[in-house]
Amino acid sequence: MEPLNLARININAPYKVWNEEDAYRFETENGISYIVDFDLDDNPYYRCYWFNLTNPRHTKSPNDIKIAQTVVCIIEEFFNQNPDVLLYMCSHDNGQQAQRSRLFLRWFNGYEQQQRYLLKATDVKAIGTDGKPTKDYVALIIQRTNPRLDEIVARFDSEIEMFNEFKP
Amino acid sequence: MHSIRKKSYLCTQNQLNREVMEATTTINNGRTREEIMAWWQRAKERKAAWEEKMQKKFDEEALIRKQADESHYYDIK
Repeated sequence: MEPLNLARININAPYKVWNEEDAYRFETENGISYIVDFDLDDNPYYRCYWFNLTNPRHTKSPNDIKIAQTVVCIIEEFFNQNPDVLLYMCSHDNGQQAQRSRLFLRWFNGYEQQQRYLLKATDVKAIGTDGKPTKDYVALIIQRTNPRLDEIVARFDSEIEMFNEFKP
Repeated sequence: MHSIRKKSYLCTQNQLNREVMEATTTINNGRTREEIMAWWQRAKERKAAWEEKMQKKFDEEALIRKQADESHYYDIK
């Protein structure tokens, strides 16, 4: 992956972003740290990265719109540097994956983003670590200018459909 | 006569195999269900491992901060 241009991120990001051990970090005005990472996926069809975001202290920061703005700046810079695809899987921490999914959609579904990116979000049936049925939430983000847009979206849809046909 | 019957049996068998494959494991010219499940599982495990690593990193940072706060080394006046 091409490294992100921090200077460009920091022109628009409300929180200062810096690089730390192949990841990107920022701290809110309430002293809460977030780390962002891009992990190369191993699917054989197209190059894509899993977008990871964590707040390791699990501190709540309600209504801090600057977090969303900073994350969007990082993702936009990712697409400036890498003509690839992003996948996002919501963390199961505290069983709040559904809330995380809704929050991420709200963050990344502004008018400007919709013009430039196609975001497909869905839930898939899964089995939890306790062996009980659960749901995983996943989103695919792809630039509308990607020449393989239709093919990649069709493949994503068909593979997700396969999960939901799965009967545990 | 024998060869016709054999050919007919092979056709039926091939068709049956194809139908079984389509019904159970094959996905449009792509990965099988098992491959997709394994791919998903690997992604989940990598994500969980990364989150655990970040958690440890933050725990270490918190410990260092606590040690610094409690240290008399910084009590220079």
